[in-house]
Amino acid sequence: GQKDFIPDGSAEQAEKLRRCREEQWQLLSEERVERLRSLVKAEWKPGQGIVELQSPAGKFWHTMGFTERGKQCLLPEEALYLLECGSVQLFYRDLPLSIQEAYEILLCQEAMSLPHYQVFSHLKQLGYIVLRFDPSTVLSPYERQLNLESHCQSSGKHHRKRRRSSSPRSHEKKHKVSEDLPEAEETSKKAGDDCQDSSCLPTDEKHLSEQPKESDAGSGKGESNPVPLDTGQKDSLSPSWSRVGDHEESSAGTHASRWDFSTIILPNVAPDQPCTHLPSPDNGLLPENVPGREVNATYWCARINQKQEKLSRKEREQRERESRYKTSVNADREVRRCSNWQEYKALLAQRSRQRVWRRPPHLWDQAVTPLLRPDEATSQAALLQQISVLQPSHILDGASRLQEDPESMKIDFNVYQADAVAKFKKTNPGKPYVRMCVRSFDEQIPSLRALKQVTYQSGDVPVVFALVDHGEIAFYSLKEFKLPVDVNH
Amino acid sequence: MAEAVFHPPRRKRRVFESYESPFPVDVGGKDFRICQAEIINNNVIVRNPEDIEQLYNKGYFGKGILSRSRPVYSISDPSLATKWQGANMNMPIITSKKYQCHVQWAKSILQEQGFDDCSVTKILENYTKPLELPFLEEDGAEQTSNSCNRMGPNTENTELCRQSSTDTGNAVALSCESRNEGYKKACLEGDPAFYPVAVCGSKEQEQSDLKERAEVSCQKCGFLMQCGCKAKENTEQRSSEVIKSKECAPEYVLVQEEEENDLRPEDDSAHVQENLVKKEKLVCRRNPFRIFEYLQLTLEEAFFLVYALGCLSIYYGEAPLTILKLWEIFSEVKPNFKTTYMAYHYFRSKGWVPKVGLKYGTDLLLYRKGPPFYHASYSVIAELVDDNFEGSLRRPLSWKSLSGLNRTTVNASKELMLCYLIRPSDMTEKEMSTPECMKKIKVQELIVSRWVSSRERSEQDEF
Repeated sequence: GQKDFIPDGSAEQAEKLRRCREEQWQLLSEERVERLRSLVKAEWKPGQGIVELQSPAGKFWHTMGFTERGKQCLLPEEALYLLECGSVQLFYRDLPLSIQEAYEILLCQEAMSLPHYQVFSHLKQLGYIVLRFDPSTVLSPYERQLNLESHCQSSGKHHRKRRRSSSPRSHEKKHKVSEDLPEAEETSKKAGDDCQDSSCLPTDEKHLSEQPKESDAGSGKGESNPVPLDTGQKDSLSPSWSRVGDHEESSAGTHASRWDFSTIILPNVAPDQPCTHLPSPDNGLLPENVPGREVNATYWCARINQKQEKLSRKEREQRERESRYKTSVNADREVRRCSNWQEYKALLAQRSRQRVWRRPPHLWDQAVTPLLRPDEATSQAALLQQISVLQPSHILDGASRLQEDPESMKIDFNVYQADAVAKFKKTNPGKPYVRMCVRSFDEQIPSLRALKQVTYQSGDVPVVFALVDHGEIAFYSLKEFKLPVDVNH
Repeated sequence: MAEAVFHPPRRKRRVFESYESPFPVDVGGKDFRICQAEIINNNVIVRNPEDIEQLYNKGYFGKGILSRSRPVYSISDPSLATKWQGANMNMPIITSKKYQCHVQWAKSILQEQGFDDCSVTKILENYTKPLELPFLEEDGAEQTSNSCNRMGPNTENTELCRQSSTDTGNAVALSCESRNEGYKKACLEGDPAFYPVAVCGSKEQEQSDLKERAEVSCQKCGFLMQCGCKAKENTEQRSSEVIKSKECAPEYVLVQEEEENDLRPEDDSAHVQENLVKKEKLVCRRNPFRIFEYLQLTLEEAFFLVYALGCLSIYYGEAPLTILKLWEIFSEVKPNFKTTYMAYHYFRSKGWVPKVGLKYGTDLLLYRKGPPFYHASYSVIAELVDDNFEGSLRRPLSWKSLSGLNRTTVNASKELMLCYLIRPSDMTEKEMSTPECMKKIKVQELIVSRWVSSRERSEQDEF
């Protein structure tokens, strides 16, 4: 039937409740029977805050416990859990502890309070493997970049992927590497013109991946253009286009340039105009000890596979979607007629003079004018670009400098999936499925600051907040997100 | 660190609208129209029907003050409309009783304006007399097109419309034919009885204190009538354009009335039966008490149209306001305007349509393309923080309240999003007093999701 939602003061309801409580009490008071032989004996060591096994561990040893000074030991939460399961018998001062006593005695520490234990127990009962979080086991972004963990796990399958320059650095401490990151963030912005906003990795990591590549490249590759990350389309909405405009540093100086634009010709490097003959560059443009020479690339072109690229269906669809709103500036015949920058700029100036729309003075003759110039908005995408003034931010931006904060929120547990039990190795657990922060239901949600700290601390493992409310546990996560741009209507 | 996966919004099963454009701005700038709005009682209102259409159809800005969302208010009775489907000529169909109410209301308005009962009755009788349907076919079309240019019997009428609008800018509920002071053929019927009304109308405009009175009376009927509180239009722009014909033209309605049968006592029972059956017919009359529906823009929508697109001018009284002034005024009216505006602007610049999130306890609801096409996908709370990523929150949430909010959001098939606007800690008040401060502000989006410990075991869900 329907649930009773509120007390209605009836005798019937009171009787139902009484019977329920009685049943529950009976259940709880039932004596648990275990074979004495299979019960592992363990002793609580308050000085060390751990439990020492007095007889050999059972099956639980696969996922719980640790060895110290030759003895098998358990953490308080593990011991308490096993006690509740009926797998161990806990002794203190030679007397067995009741469950109530065990709760009282084992859970009076900073690291393992009652709410923490409740979360631990909840997850264990569902089959997860739960270990305490240890910050030193988290790989830095750089180390992750090198795929260090998979190298540790597998038998050197990834050896070949390791960069030459990275081997001495593999043991570098986290904080040292993090100093590189702020710099990397700066420079990568310039390089990140093609970077799509919905990419998974933050730009600083991408830049780091280039450094080793370049040192590897040696003489062969001349270009150092970063390869844009293609995270693939997940759906029909497109990620944002390249925000070239935003990344241009507005260099203030309007000094006279030393270039004579009327004589500089824009080379046509379209696919139908193979640029195989490259003249020798002007010596004034080259660094001192670098000689330039003429190149005729015809020989090489002949050896390149010039077969028409066959696009996958996904790529074709993407191209078709993009063609709806993206236009090449060269599609304009008048633009093609311009043979140098000067002509092109003159064309733009001429077009802006042909404004048709009237500009009311109360909007336009002011210090602050509207963002949109309708004559410059040639497409919906261009319009959106003109009005996009707010910068996106990633959850990890600025997170590294928050790490020195002693007040920062702590991660409590590493949680591994139940399916991973068979392959689980205590000595090398690997990357957890999720990390837990235990908090109280009445607390304020973490500030953005605290969230960044915790996300950074966790490396690339997602963080979940476990909220305890008198025995009930709810789990929430606050995840980084970038709303995709919707231009295809 | 896992990123939240984007879940594409669900398309609505039945879509009754066609999509026009994401913004009321023509790409290329050739056909650029600047709409007008006014600030009335701290609200931004758009009155011009064409502006209303433009702003709502292209981007779903605003809300009709008498409708749920799209301004579709009509006095037409839906059951009558279906009943008389064949006869419908784009005019509202109302019951006779309702029409009488309108007449009564018009009567009391005229009485308030000081007319004596005799004149009132005369004016109304004249105004509300039945009209010939064939004539109306032309007028019916008038409703839909800008007919002020059309030749024909309406010409003088509509010329007057234009003339009087530029002169006085005031309109009384009765047709604009009344607002003339020199045209003999003022209206079709050529009834000079309208003069008194006209005189009264223009007098009201001259006396500024009377304007307040008119405002008061206007408030009573809630923008229902074009009383004297309507601000003078910016005539520069309008002089060469066609003036809103919809507003100054009279509204024609079809009134369902009973045919008058002379009840003659007959011996023949059959005749008696006939007399009992009242035949109904539709009579076309003018509506003496028009109800105008205006479009109300939220402060964020209004500011966006002005600042980001430059396609709206907002007037306070007579003067159009500059962008800086609007930024200042809106911040005063709504204490956290800057924060909510920045979030609004951000989502608009991503091509999504943000609407007010009041119903869900948040700041914004994000729609893809527009409310008629997709269900809202995200329910957003905006917060402003400094670059230590802390700040005094508008909505400090405990986990308890967050979980409640998340529950109601998820029940409505939406995702809860927190939008943090990060400003440099050294940003001064002065810098924030201009919307240009947005160029230095960064946006961090977060999605709140509940993790279910037991389910995660069986499904390899996105974690």
